[in-house]
Amino acid sequence: MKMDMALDQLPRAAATGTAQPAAEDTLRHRFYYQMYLIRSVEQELLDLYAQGYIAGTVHTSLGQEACDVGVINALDVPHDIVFSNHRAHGQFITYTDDITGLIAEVMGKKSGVSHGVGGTQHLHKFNMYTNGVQGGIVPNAVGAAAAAKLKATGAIAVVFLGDGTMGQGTVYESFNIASLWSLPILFVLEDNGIAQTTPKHLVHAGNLASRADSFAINSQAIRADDVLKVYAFARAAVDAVRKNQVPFFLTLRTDRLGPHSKGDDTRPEEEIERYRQRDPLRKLGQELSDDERRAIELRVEKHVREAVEQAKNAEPAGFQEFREQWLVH
Amino acid sequence: MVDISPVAVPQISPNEELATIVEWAHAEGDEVGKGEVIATLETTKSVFEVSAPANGFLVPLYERGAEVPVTGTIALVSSNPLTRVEAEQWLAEAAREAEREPEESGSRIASERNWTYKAQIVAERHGVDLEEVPAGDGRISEEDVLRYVEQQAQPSPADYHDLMDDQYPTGRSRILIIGGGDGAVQVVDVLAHAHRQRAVAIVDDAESLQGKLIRGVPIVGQIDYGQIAQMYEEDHFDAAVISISTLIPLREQIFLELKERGIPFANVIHPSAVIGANVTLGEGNVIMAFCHIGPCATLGNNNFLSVYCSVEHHGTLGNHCSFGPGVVTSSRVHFGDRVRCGTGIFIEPKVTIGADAVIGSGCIIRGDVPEHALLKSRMNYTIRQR
Amino acid sequence: MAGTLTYVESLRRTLHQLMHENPDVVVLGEDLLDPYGGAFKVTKGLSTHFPERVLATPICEASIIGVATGMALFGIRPIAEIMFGDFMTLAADQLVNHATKYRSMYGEEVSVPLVVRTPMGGGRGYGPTHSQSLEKLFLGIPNLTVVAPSHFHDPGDFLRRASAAEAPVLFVENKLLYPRALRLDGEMGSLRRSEVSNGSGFPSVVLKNYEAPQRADVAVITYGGISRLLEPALQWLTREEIRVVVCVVGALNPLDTDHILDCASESQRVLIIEEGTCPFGWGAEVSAQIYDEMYDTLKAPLKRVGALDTVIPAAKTLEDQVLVSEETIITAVLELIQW
Repeated sequence: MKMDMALDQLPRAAATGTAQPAAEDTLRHRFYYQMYLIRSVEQELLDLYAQGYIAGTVHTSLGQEACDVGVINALDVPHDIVFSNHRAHGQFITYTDDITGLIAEVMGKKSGVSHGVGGTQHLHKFNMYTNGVQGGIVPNAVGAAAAAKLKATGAIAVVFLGDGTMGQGTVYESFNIASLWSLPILFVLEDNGIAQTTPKHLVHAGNLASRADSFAINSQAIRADDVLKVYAFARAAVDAVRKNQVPFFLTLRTDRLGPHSKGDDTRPEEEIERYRQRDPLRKLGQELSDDERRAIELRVEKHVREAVEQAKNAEPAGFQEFREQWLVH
Repeated sequence: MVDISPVAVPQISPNEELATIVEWAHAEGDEVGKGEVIATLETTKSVFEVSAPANGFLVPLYERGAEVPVTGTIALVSSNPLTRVEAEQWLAEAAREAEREPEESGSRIASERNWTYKAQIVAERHGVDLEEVPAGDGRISEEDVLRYVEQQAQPSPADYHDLMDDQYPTGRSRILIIGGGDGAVQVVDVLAHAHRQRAVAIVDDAESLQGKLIRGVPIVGQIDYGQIAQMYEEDHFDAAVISISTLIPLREQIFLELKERGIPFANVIHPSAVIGANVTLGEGNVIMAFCHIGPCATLGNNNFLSVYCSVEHHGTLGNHCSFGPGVVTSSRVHFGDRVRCGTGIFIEPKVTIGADAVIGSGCIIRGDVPEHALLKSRMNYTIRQR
Repeated sequence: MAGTLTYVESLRRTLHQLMHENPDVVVLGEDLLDPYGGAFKVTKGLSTHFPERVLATPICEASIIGVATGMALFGIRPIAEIMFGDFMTLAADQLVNHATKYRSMYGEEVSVPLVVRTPMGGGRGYGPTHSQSLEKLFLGIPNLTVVAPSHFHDPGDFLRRASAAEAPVLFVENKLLYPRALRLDGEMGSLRRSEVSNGSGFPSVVLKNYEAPQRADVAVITYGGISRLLEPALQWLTREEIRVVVCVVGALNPLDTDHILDCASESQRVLIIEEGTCPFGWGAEVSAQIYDEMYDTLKAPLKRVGALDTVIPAAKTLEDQVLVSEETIITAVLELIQW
C-alpha cells in the first residue's frame, strides 16, 4: 500500500510536479521567512524563559522547522484541521502567523491565544488544536476527520505525532478506525529519534515508519532536511487524502536541535553538532543570496522584537474573568 | 401415576427477560421423545430451540407468537395424554406448592411485633410500657401511644376520703405527693428520713394504683386539681410536692395549677444533702441524697435534683428544672427555667444554660447553651460484643 | 402513557427522536448494529433507520470517546456508548485530559457537545469487572457533568437535555433499571412523587410516604439504580409509621445541594445511599456539603450506605450480600431513628 518508495530519491523539481524555477524561488522566500520566524521566536522564548518571564515550560521546534513549514503549507489553511502535541509552536506559527498571540500565551497574558489558560502546550486558533498529553489527540483528529466527512466540508485533518507517541495504544486504535471508515486524515510522524531523553531504540521494537501498513494505510517516509522536499511529499499526501478520502501516514525523519524543554538534554555535544551540520534552515539559507537572506532575517527580527515588546506590555490574564467564566458550573 | 414435566424457557442472557415462541414443532397431544425439539423461541439476541425433558405427550401452554417470561413454563410433557383442563389443574397445584415455600419478595426483616417501630420508639421516649397501651384497629400505632400518654396525664375523679390517713398534726408538716411512679418511691423515702415532714398521701392518674400503698403511704386518687384543693381545704395536708421528674411540662403545669388554687409547696430535702450558707430556696424543690448546694446559690421553685447533684456557689437555678443523678456544676453556673439534664453532666464555671434546654447524659459543657437547645454526647463505649 | 414506558424504551425512543430531528446526531459504540442493537438493546432499531449515523466501533474505549470528542469539536453531536461502565477507565484520559479540557483551556468559543452513555451496577452476576458503579471516579472533574437518572426520572428527557448541552455529559444508566417501568405519577400508593427543578435541566425527584403537616423522621439522599429498592423499602417503613423523605438526585455533579439540604433539614437525620462503595465517594461529598450547613442542627451522625468495600462477586449468594439491598436500607433507617 506504499507510495512508490523511489519518490524519496527523486529530484525536488520532479516531486513538486509542475513547479517552475521561478515559483520555487517564491516558495523558498516564503519558507525561509517562516522557518526563520519559527527559529527566532523559539530562541526568543528560551531567552524570555531564562529571564523569568515564562513559568512552566517550553518545548521548542528548533531543528524541526522544515517539517512544520513543509506540511502546513501543503494544507488549505485555515479550512483544514490540525491537531498537534506539546512541540507545536512551529506548526502553530506557520498555520496562524500569529506570533504575538503565541508569545503572549506562553507568557500568561490575557491576549494570549488561549487567554493564558492553556499555555505553551494548549494552543488553539482557527481549526488548530494542541494538547500535551501524548496520543490522546490522535483519536480526536480522527473524529474531526469523521465530522468533516459526515458534513462534507471538504476539509481534511492532520495530526502530528512524535516518535515517543508511537508507544501509545490510541495511535493504533486511530489507525484502525481511520482506515476502516475511510477518513480524510494525514498522520504526520516527526521522528526526531528521541523522546524527552530516551532514544528511540530503547523503547520501540521494529520500524516506526511501517507501523500503519498493516492497517492498509498508505505511507511514506522521508528525511526532512529539505523543506521543499517535505512540502512536495506533504502536498502529494494531502491531495491523496482529500481526493480519495482515505488516511495517509507520512514519516518525517528530523533532528531536535534543542533540549526536550529546558536544560534536559543529555545528548553529547558532538551528536548535536552533527545535527547542526544538516540544519534545514541553514541549508535553505545557503540557497538564497546573502542580500535576500539578510533582508528576510531583518524583517523577521523586527517582527519578533515588536511582538515580544507587545506581549511583555500586555495585561496579565485576570483571575476575575477566569473565575466568572470557569468557576460557575 | 401420571408423570408430568414442565418445559421451561432457558436463560440465554442475563439481560433478556422475555422470549417469543416462533414455532411449535409438534401439535398438542403429539407424542415426543426425550431430547426431541418441541419449539423454536427467539429473544432480541438469538433464536434457539427447546427440547422435551422426558418422553410423553405434549401440552403447549401458549400460542405461536406469544411472549413468555424467561425461565417460565411454556408446555408440559405428560406420561399420559392430558387435557387442557387437567394441565391447568396441575399448574394451579404447582403454583400453590410454590406459594407455600417461604416468600422471598418484600423485606426479609419481619414485622411480627404487635406494634409499629414508630410506636415502639415513641413509647420508649415517653417511658410507656407498650403492653399497657390499648390497641386501636390492628397493631399499636404511634397515635395509640400518644393518646395513651395524654390520657395518663388527664385527671379523673376518685373518692379519697376512705383512703386518707387522717392524722392529727404532730408538729411535722403533712406532705401530699403528686405522682405515684418511681419518683414517689424516692420522695417517700426522703420523707421517711425527714424530721419535720412526713408523707400522708399520694395522688396518681393510674387506675391500677388506686388504693395501693407505697411504703405505707396510700394512693388516694387522681391528679384532679379541684379535688386536691378540696383536700387542702379539708386540712388533710399542709403542703404538696411533685414527684414526677422528667416530664417537665406536666411538672410545671401541676405546679402552676395548684399554686393558683392556693396550695403551698414544700421543699423536700434528704438529710445527707449539704446546703451552704446564704442559699435561697423557693418552694416545691426536691433535693435527693448527697446533693450539694454551694454558698450563695439560688434555687427557684419546683426543681427536682436527683442524687449527687451539685450546684456550686453563686449558681442559680430557675423553675421546673429536672436533673438526673450526678449533674455537677462549677461556680456561678446559671440555669433558665425547665432545663432537663440527664445523668453524669459536668458544667464549667460561669456557663449559662438557656431555658428549655435538654442536655443529654455524659455531656461536658464548656460554653453557654442557648434556649431550647438539645445537646447530646456522641460517645459510644461499645467496642464490640464479647 | 409515560407510566407504562420502561427505562430502556424511554432511552431508545429518545435516541430515535434525536437522530430524526437533528442530522448532526451520531451514535457510536461497540456492537450497536441491528439485529443485535447493543448489549443492553438501548440502540435497537437505530442502525436500521439511520445506517449512516450509527457507527459500530472496534473495541477501543479510549478512541471511541476520543473520536467522539473530535467529532463534537467540529459540529457533530455524538452520543457514544461504552458497553459496560467498568470500561470507562480505558476512556478516562479522553474525558479528563481532552473532552473536558478543550472548552476551558481554549476559550468559550470551543464547544464539546459530547454525551457518553454507559451502564453501571451489579445484580446480574457479571462478576468483579462488569458490575461496578465507578461513577465516583468521574466526579469532581471540572466541566464534566455526570447524570444518573433513576426510574423515578424520565431518562429519555435527561438524554435529550444531555445531547443539547455544549459540554461533555457522562450519562450513567443502570443495568437493573433497563426493564423497569418508569414511575412518574404524582401518587403511587402511599408514595408521593414530585420533581424539583434546580436550573441544571437534570431535576431531582422528591419522594415522601407522608403528607404535610407531618414531618419526616429520616431523609434519604440517593441516585440512580438504588431507586429500584426504594419502593419496597418505603412500603415496609410506611407500615411501621416511619416517615421518610427521599431526594433522588438526577445529577451527581453538579450536586443539587439546595434540595438535598431541604430534605436533610426536614428530619435532621440523614441517610446517604450510593450503589458503589462508600469510601471517598459521592456520599462522602454529600455528607460534607450537609455537614457544612447543618453541623449544629443534626440529630444524628450522617449515615452512609453503599456496596461493601470489596470486589463484586459473581455468585448470586455473594453478590446479594455485597450490594446494597432493601434490607440494608431499612436497617440503616431504623438505626438513625433511634437517635
